[in-house]
Amino acid sequence: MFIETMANATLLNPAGTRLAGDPDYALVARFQAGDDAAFDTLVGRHEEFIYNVCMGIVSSPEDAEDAMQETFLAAYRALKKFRGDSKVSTWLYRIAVRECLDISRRRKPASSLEEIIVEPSVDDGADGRATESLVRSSLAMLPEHYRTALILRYYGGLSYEEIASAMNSTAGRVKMMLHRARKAFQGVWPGDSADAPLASGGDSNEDV
Amino acid sequence: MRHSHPAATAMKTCDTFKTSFSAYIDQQLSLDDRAGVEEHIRTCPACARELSELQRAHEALLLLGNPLKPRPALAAVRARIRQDEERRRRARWLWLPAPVAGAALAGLLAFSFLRPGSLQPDGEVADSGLESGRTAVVAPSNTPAPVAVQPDSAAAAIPKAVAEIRRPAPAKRPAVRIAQSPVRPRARAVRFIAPAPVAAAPVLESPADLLPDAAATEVEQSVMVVASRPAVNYCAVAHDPVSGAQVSEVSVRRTYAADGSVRAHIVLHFPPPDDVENNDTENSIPNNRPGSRPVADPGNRV
Repeated sequence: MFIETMANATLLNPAGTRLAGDPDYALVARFQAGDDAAFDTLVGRHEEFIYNVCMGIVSSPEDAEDAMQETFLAAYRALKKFRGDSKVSTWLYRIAVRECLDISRRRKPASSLEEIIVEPSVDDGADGRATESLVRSSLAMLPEHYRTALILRYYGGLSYEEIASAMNSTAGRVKMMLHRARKAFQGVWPGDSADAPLASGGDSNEDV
Repeated sequence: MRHSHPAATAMKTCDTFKTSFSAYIDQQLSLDDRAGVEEHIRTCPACARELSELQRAHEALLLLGNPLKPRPALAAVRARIRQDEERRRRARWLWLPAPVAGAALAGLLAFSFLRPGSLQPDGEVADSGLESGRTAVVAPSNTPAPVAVQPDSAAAAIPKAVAEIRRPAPAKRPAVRIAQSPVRPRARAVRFIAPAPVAAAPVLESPADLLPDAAATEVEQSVMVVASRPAVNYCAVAHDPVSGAQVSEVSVRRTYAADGSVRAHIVLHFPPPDDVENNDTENSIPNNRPGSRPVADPGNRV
């Protein structure tokens, strides 16, 4: 597998970048060589991740599913020309972010928490689930670029650079964005216990 | 950025530190800067409180790391890809060089006029009922005809003569494609269904607009839906006119307008006729079926 990956990476990306180790690269190479089924594997490998990123940005399961499908459709169309300038996953996130922003731009912002449907997650006890859905609904109230940065960071575990790449931004701006996003989240999140008052202080909306 | 003297430059110092708390939490600070933050919060209760609040938000946000399980995407993705490719395939002829496209369109329209009953003088679809077996694929009144969907350059490329032929067509229902159907139409009615969250789910019963060309395996229809909550999934169900069986595959693609309205593009996928081995529909389909009649010409399809 590793050898195959290396070989294809070299083939696709003669410049020889950090992509040599990207396991998706072999799939892309197979797809570009005419193996349509390689795309199916790619979908299977990334659907959960893409879906979760989309859920962070568009909030409703239907929209997230829609965005995920659009993402893979766009990826399918563009994959023939994919040149390996970034990791396949990063490239997919970039498409997903764009599709999500497209969808949420067509939406009116959710006006209340009740409108946001949160799919039950893995059963981790009533308490844990309630808190998680509260976090998700609070997230949904933030501006979309904050949501995007936060979900890529917290779900995806992406580095500042990777987030920047997915959001067409720079690491410096991502750093600032994450800071503001956390502050904003702090402002809408009711907190997880009694000692966390609803408004966490007069300066919670202060932009730095 | 080492600030260990809170007295004189306290304000500036605190602000500077506060902006780095987020990077501190992400462990993105250099060792020096990190040490600076830790030193500062030991002496500055306000900043210490701020940082701990941010930490709590951070801990809550960590819950976003719990993955949600999506439904498997592949089937839906493949359906969209098929649909997209079909759409592109059908649109391709409009991208021919202008003279070729113009000639093709002129030929098509002329041919249509030669066929008795295929077009009324005003260009209206004459007969699209089940009885005659004629199939008309028309654009619904509130959507542009497929021709108009193309970029303006393509429309502008239509030669003048053709434009004149087209002019009499009434705006309310422009004829787009007229084709003789050698077999019975395979869809009778399409019901457009929206699930519970939408008040007043619209129901479409417009067979004339949805009868497929005999050879077509796909037909598309756009409908305008005004939904209170556009985020729901819509579906459409089509029935076979004879057996009443449900058409196997129906996909709906939604586009959203800024005003909150939804346009649903319903695409019906028809299996190739099961009683025809090589799709040689013109010769092998018996003519005594409901809604069919002898076919003189199968050739005028786009």
